Amino acid sequence: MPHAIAADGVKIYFEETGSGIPVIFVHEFAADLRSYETQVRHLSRQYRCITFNARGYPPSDVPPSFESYSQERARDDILAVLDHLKIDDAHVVGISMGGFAALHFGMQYPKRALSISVCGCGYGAQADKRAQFQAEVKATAQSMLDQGMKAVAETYAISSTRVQLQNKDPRGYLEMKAQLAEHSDLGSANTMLGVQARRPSLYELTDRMAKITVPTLVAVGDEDEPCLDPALLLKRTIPTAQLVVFPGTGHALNLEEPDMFNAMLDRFFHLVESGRWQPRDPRSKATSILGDNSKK
Amino acid sequence: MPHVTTPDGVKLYYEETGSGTPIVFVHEFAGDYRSWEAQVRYFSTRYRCIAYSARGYLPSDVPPTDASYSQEYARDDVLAIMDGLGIKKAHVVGLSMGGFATLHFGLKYPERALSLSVCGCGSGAHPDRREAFIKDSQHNADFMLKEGMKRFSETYGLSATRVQLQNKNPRGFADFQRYLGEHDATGSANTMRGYQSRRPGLYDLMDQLKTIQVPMLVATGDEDEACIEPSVMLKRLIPSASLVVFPASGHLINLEQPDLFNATIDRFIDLVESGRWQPRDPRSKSAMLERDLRR
Repeated sequence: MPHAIAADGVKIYFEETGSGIPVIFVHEFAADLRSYETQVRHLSRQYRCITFNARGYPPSDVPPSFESYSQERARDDILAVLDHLKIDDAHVVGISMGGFAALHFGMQYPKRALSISVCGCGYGAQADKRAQFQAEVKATAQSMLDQGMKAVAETYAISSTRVQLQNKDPRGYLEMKAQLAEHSDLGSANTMLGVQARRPSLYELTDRMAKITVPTLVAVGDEDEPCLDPALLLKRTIPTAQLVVFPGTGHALNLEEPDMFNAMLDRFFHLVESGRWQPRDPRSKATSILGDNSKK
Repeated sequence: MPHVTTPDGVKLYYEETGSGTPIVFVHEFAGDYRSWEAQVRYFSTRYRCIAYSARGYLPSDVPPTDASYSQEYARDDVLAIMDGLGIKKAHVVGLSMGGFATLHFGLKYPERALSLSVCGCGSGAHPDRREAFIKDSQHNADFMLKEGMKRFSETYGLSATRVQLQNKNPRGFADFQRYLGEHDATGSANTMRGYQSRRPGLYDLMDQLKTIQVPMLVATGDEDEACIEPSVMLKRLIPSASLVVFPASGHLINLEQPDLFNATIDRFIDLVESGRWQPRDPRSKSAMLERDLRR
């Protein structure tokens, strides 16, 4: 099976489809590379699409200790896959946990990113919800080990930002849940404890975010409450960021609205590749609502 | 010229294009019926599109005092257009000032609205910005009367949420600025004084707003700072509302990205007409919601 080897020896399974400018997709906690099927089928007509399973998600290796899982490891696993494939730079697309990884990748390795798409990113980012988030993460990890993923999938899949998928696309929802149930109990629990619970809050990263020069697309669902405010923070902090909010949408944007999601990426990539992606015009930051007449 | 006459005797100019289910377009402060050209051309193949100039905007009448301008008049002028054309129900699409009128129309006459598209709505609505907004409105009204609309269009046209149009679509921006320069100074100043600076803040209307059941789309640009928080507030408050935010966009979302805007409204109206527009699933509301509403 095709795999890259991370700096600490962990094998990362990947799939490659199509040719052209590379796009690498980074999946969310409750998913694996299969969740990008609709994106790969659409974008592989024009792009070299790479999907991979994060560490802890078979057929990638499942390191036994949560110490092998972290935000830095998640970020560097993207690099390991790109290095293995001898790809200098790629569009990096991530959702949720993968959105955090894409963001950190853009901050750490700007030369390797043509662009970053940071989607549904923000769980546990808000300072006042951090303690609550970490407590929930630890409890969830324990129940994964105690009850197994099949049982956890039943409750996890019905959370307040996933019911939208159930309402819109029942077949897609069942597929998501079935795939979640197949995940490794240990790998999932370790990911929760190592990556999710320990990652730095977005609100502590604003100085670094303000220095991002890579074209950035921030996307979020209008009912993804934990991510809505963080998405605005990203837009306002990163000078090269644009924000898209999807109507009537929860967390898994790409599954809920594949056509809108694909069209958005198409448009974004084309702007970047044609050199027409502009940082925010400083004139757009004036505070006067009705123009500057009042100052003259 | 085609016009309807409002109950207080003001003539409103309108244009009607296409046939089918009616869509009424309500323009913003710096626009007029012409601002909807890209929408009328797109939707008139399947819909009966009505665009009109608000009171104070030629060729509609320009009532001489600001007492004839208010949120209620703006709301009821939508109704007057529909009554005048024998329209029982319509999709109502409004931008900015027109978005406020659309929202108030939905509050007062829900049985007349098939849906509400409330776009770029919120300037001056947030309590923190209200005082500055009122002061700006007064100042702008004085400026328009003293310096004329052409001069006004040169500065107002370049405000923080309109430069995006200039960057993206220079020809569209030139049209926009020229139309603004052609407006009637008295009508514009009266609109600023009577309507803009006196309209109630959205945050004072929350108890009423949350009773809205008409399908609603809230749309704003990601750089329209004055409208982002109010738009998120409307989404969280109104169960029948969905929110869409356009990337790298300022205030004039229909002019900046006509294709994206048209496709978004089209999809929304399609969902409504097929009976598949659903109110927000109560399961999607986490505990944090009530607290977040006031932010």
